[in-house]
Amino acid sequence: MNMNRKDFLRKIQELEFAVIELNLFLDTHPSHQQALADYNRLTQELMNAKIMYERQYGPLTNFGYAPSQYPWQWALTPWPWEDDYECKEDMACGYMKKS
Amino acid sequence: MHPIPHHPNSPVNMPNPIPNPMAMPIYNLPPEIQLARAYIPDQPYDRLFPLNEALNKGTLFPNLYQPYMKKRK
Repeated sequence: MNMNRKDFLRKIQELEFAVIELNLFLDTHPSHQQALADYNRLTQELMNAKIMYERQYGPLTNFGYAPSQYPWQWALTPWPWEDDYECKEDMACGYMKKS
Repeated sequence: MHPIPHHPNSPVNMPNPIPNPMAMPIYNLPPEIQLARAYIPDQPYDRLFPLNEALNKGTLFPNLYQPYMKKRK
């Protein structure tokens, strides 16, 4: 899968939204097999998407979920309001470098 | 049948948010309904919106999709 950063983030947001919707449905219907199957399928898809994203573009969250390359990627990858999601020259963006 | 009054706190240009209970279909309500109790009908599990559509619409479930309508001019 070769998506640009913005599209990839959007894809993850879509999956997260779908999964939390199913979470809420299952809270009141814990024995609903179809809903649980959909939840598990989309959760797996979300987990894979996050791993792929973090490999390519750096961490999605600041601690506890993904190891960081040197230097500390969280501080150096674009912030959400930098919505072109481009890596500036003084940023490390090690995940985007093709060496 | 009494008309449902417009809720005093709702904006005038919004459609009346209080649905007429006589017009609402009743799903799976037990026969022993009591007065002065709130009941939430069970949500059937139908099809799901495509995920990009769900995020735009604010729900994954077509049967929960109830957008506010624009005021007709």
